[in-house]
Amino acid sequence: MRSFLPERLVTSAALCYFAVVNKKVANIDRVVGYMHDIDRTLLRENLKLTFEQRAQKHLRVLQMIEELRRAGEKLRRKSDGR
Amino acid sequence: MAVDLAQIIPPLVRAKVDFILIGGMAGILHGSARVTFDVDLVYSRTHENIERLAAALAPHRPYLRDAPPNLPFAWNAKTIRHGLNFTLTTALGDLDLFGEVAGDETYSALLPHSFEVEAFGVRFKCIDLPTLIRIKEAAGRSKDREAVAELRVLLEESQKKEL
Repeated sequence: MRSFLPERLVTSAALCYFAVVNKKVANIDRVVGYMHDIDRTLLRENLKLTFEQRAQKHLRVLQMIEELRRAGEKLRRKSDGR
Repeated sequence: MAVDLAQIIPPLVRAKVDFILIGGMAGILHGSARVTFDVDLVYSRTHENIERLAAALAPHRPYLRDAPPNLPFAWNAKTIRHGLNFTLTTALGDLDLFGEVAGDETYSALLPHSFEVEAFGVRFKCIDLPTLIRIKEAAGRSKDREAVAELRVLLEESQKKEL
């Protein structure tokens, strides 16, 4: 059956479609690739905790990061002679 | 400033704001080992809920994150009604409010995919793990790929635990 759309338009549309599909497949492949590198031991430890304990653990990590940031700033100020 | 769920969630629950916890903090509650610095909430866009949300957050001085100071920004129900998604800084930490996520997912659309969490002396709704994965995938941001991979592993691990 002859298409009533110009051939060039049909080809471009098909290429766009395959580009989108390929991108999705590539993204899924990449995610699956990352899954092999996830440290499951950390997750298994977290799964033993209650929701509240997980949130508290995360807060402690955030507080530690803030403390390290402050220490870094202090150090930089000192080395800058400020 | 380290954002603390225990500070942000209870005032909203006590003010009867309808919201669902999504994003990185929802991931933390599901067992994620990643660090996140803000709280993401999908809120209901009903007239009453917008009024409650505006009143509940007002004492915590919400302001547009990363915006220059002294902008004519007023946090009230009118502002929320005229906007949709807000990235805010508050006295309790950084807070992102979404009227919609991933294109067209609203509070009511996500409600069947949420579950009740009991923590910090209150009960609130959190998005379920498969939906959290779907939202992050739909966002299609490259920075989310590792997070999605971790959430998928968490889903596998939780399913194994249930067996």
